[in-house]
Amino acid sequence: MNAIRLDHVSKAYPRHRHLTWGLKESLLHLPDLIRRLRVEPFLALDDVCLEVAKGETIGIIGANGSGKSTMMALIAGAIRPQSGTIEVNGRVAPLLELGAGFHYGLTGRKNIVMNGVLMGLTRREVAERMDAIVAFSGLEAWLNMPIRTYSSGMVARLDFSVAVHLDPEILLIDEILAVGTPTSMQSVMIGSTSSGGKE
Amino acid sequence: MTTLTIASATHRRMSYVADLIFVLVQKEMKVRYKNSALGYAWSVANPLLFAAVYYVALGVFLRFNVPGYPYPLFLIAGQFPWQWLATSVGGAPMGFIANASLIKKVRFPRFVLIAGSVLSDAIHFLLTIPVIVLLLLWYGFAPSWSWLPGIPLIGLAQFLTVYGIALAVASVNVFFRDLERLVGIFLQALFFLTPVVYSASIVPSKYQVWIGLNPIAPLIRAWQKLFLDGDLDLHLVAAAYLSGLVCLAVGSLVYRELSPRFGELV
Repeated sequence: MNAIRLDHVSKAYPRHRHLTWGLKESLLHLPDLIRRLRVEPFLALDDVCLEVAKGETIGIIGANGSGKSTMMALIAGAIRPQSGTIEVNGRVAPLLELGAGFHYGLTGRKNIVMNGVLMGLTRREVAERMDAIVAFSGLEAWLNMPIRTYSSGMVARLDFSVAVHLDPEILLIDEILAVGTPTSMQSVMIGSTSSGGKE
Repeated sequence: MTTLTIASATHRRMSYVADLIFVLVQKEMKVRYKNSALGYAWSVANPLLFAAVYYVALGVFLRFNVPGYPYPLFLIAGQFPWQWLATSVGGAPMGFIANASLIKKVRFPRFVLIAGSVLSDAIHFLLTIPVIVLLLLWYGFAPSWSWLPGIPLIGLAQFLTVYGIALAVASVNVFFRDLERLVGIFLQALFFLTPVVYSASIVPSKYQVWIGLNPIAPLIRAWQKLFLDGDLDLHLVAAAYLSGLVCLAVGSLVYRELSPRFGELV
């Protein structure tokens, strides 16, 4: 059984997106708006097929706007495709852009709990994993400090430590590790060998 | 066997949603009370200052009064619960948008964002009740035992109302961002159409029907009666629940219709 299977998946960003301009802009640029509404919706993904086997690690490289993040969001279940089917077998842990799902005024420990719960664990499950997460992050000394005092590398490390302890069967990593230090890059390798990761 | 698995899956799901709301409420409380020395003072000062302004403008300058009560006390009985509604609904437009990066990438029930913030505003309101008690005692009034059933009963009705409105506002604002400008005006209008600075009985009888149609009026009137007279008016409570359930139904429908597309629009 595949970990991830995309079968002829298409994702178009629909026209009403342009209405998020707001009333004033819409009225000021009315002809422009109508023209845009007539234009074909933007096709972010066009008939994409992909299979990722269990234990496989896959990297996707592409120009800006080529649909990499859209694919991630589809696999994570945050958005739905227009057509095609997506099969995801296993618990997904998406690594967000840096610090999303964190609150910078809260301590590292509180953020571990909040982030873990947002990612799908109950509070008890987070508590059971707390020691392991802390040890993995190597941030024991900073744990009771608000994370606004952390460096961005440290925030990334905390983020990643929570993600790998969700016991994800599928780990989605979207450009998050741009700030990673050599130490945290090593952690990536550890994290993805046991699961069908994808970068 | 299968029913058992389904039951335990439902149970896990419910305790998961409860945990999710718990951590969000905890975050809001921590952030509000920890990062400013006067955290609690601010959540009391806000409605108190509003009440003071209305007292000076209406009570002193316009010499308005509500028969039977010291006017400052009357203002406070309505303004404190109103503040909960105003804070929750006023903040609702950003409810989903402010969490865009989460919504775009993670699959979790989005309504918890709104439930969490309305609940934490509810807790702030409850924490301001001791101030109402102090002011009652100051003016020679006293709290009543009817508060014990009354506060949770009316509080739940207000939660349903506020949550329903906030959920609809937050959902629609993802698609139509101008709503956040309109919400401020809408709240201002609703405030003056709701008996907060005046009592419902003062309104001329030919306009009473409008008070009856205002979904917030029974709530505020129920609070005023409870705080000032120690009287739990079950007619008003029933009306408050009725409008609370309508708000909840509308909010849930709007949310259910719009939320599948949040991920691509926030």
